[in-house]
This record gives sequence, structure tokens and C-alpha cells, in this order.
Amino acid sequence: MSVWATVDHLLDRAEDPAALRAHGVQLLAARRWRATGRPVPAALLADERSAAIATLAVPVLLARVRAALNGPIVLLKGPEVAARYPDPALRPLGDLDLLVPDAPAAERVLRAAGFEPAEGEQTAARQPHQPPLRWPTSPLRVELHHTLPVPAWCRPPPADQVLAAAVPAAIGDGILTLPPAAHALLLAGHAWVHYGPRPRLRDLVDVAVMTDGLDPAEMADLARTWDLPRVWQATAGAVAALCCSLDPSSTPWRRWVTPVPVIRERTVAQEHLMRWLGAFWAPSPRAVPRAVVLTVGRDLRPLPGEAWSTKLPRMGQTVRSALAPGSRPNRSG
Amino acid sequence: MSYSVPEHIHFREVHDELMLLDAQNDAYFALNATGAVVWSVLASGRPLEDAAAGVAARYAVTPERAEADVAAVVDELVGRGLLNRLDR
Repeated sequence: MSVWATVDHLLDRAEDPAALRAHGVQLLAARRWRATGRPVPAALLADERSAAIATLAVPVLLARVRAALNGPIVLLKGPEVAARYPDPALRPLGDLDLLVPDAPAAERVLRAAGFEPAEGEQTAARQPHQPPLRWPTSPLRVELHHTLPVPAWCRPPPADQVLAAAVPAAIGDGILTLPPAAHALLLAGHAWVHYGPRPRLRDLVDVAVMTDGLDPAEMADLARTWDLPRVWQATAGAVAALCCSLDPSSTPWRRWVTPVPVIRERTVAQEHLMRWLGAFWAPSPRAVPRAVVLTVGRDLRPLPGEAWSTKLPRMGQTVRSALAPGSRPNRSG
Repeated sequence: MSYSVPEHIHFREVHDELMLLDAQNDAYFALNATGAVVWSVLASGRPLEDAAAGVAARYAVTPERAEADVAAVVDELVGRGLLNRLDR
């Protein structure tokens, strides 16, 4: 059974558009429900329109960035993964993640070229990228990265090695991307940063499409060089289960990471807990304490430039909304 | 009378609607089902009469009504630069 057949099976059993959005599969659901004669809610129709516009906007925005910046530009995640979907507009897209040699300098150049700071996104300050930018008439943001967005406790290759090993991207003239194996590892690591051992369904689909045809042993070797062997083993096991080709002897998978039986939105508390638990998948027992400190500290510390007088009320709001759906607005941590 | 799609106009179908991007002006447009039918017929190089016939059939309206509706849609599409009118 392919990943798409399993996803369709899960979508057939789904009911809640909010949960579908939380798992990043609302566009796949809209297509599936329409194909099977099931009514598509107006909210999902609106999502489809937005996704079509975002897909149209990608090459235009990439061209604008390419025209402004010199040097290599490596497209991470997003459109590069979407290109491997049956239709790129089936994968939600909000921004272009770009790895460049000097992200702060690139930000200055783009702002001089007419890009403006994107609104909102307090938590963007924690991310391994510059504050997001937006071209005034584009629906997409641009996030300039100076390192790969994976757990702080692992060892991805440094940016100069990533840039040197980059390959032509599927879209965008003069745009590069990661080789598939590195990209799959990036997707797994990035999902782990946000969701720990309970990735979203879309994260598993992304890894599945990116690893199609790749050698599992080579993936495991690469994961070891990134200090992500256990994260990769858990993710690969979940992906294998999604594709119904799982190895039942894979203990870590069986214990901790299960396929998504029902598409359900997590609560705020669950999101935090999963994110913190993810640190226990650090490469060795000795690495776990540092990983926990980095992971939990990331959430408990104030944002860069933020005072405790602002952070503490936000923490209180998060505690009070612990049982609320993770997608509910006005919750912050 | 025939029409063509300018090179800087990109589009994607969404169910029975059409999303259009004018990459030159960074402007986005959404065509409803009727507009999508008209634009698609004309963009494929077929004449205005075919577009009117398509609308008449789809919505069970008289040919005269369809021609008037299509003419209004076409004027707006051309006016916004989403179609080029090639000859008169």
C-alpha cells in the first residue's frame, strides 16, 4: 500500500477541518472528499484557493529573491517537497525557507530591494532564521536561514558544506536545494523540533515522498553523521508504517511512534510535552541531559529581547490554555 | 475574433474556479465557474462563439443571454490584462 492510499484511508475517517489543518493535510482531504462524493466544507474550499495562489506565487517570489541576491540560494522544504506530491497545490505553503551563506547580509539586501518585515510570528525569534520578510504583494513570506532547522542538540553539516553539496531545485531558475537524503533528514529533524515523537501526518508524508527510492542503510548512515540516528529510526519506522511496510521488530517504533490512527488535533499541553520528550531521542544517553536543557529551555526562556515581565504572563496564558486545541489563536508560550 | 493569454499570466484550476496571477503586476484574480469556462475556452484559442455556447449549455440560458454575459466577462478579462484580444 502506498503512502497516498494510507493517507486516503485516514482522510476518509476524518471529520474535523481544524484537525486536518493541524496535521497539514486539509488540501489532501478536500481532494479526497470531492473525489469520493463527500461534501467539501467552505473552509477547505477557501484553503484550496489560498493554496493555488501560493503555488502560483512561488516561482515569482523566488525569481525576485534570485534577482536581488548574489551567491547560492538553497531552497529548504516547502515547494521542493510539494513538487513530489501528486499536485504541488496539495501541500500547504506559507513561506519560502532559504539557506544562504550570510543570512543577516542577505536580509539587508532584500530589505533594500523592497522586502518588508513580515508581521506577527513572535516565536520566529527562536528560529534558526532571520525575522521573516515579505514582498508587499506576495502571499508568501521569506525566511533566511543561516543553519539547517533541526534540533539544537544534533550536528547537521555546517552551512558551507550544505551549500557546496546542493543540487538544482525543482523550481526556480538558479535556485538550489538539498540532495534528497539530506532533505529527508532535514524534514525529519525539523518536524522533531516542533512535534517530537508525534509528528504531524504531513511531516510523515513529506519524509515518505522525499525518501522514495532511497537506500534505507544510506539514510541510517547519514543520520548518524548528523547525530540523529534515533530520531531517524523512529521517523523512518513511522513512515514505513504509513506505507504499510513496517518492520515489526523495530522496537523504538513500536513503543513510541505510532502511525496516525485518527487525525486528531493535539492540545497545547500535548504539543509542549511531545516537543520536550523529543530531547530523549538524542544520539546517546550522555547527550540527553544537554538535549533536554536545550529543548525545554528554548520554551521556558524569554524570546531574544523580551523581558520576563512579558514572558511570564505568556507562560501563564499557555498554562491556562493547556487543554485547548493547539491551533487556537491567542495562546502563546 | 480570437484571444490569447499573455505570457506573464499564470493560472491554476481550483475545482470549478480559476486562480490567475499577473506576474508582471503581482496581482491575483479569482474567476468563478462562469468566468473560468469563458477564460479556458478563449485561452485555448477557440472563438468567442464557443465560449457563449459553453455558458448557454452549462447554465441553461438563451444564446442571446449567454452572448451578453460572455461579452461582459471578456471585456473585463481584456481590460485587466488577463487576455489579449488578437484581432477585430
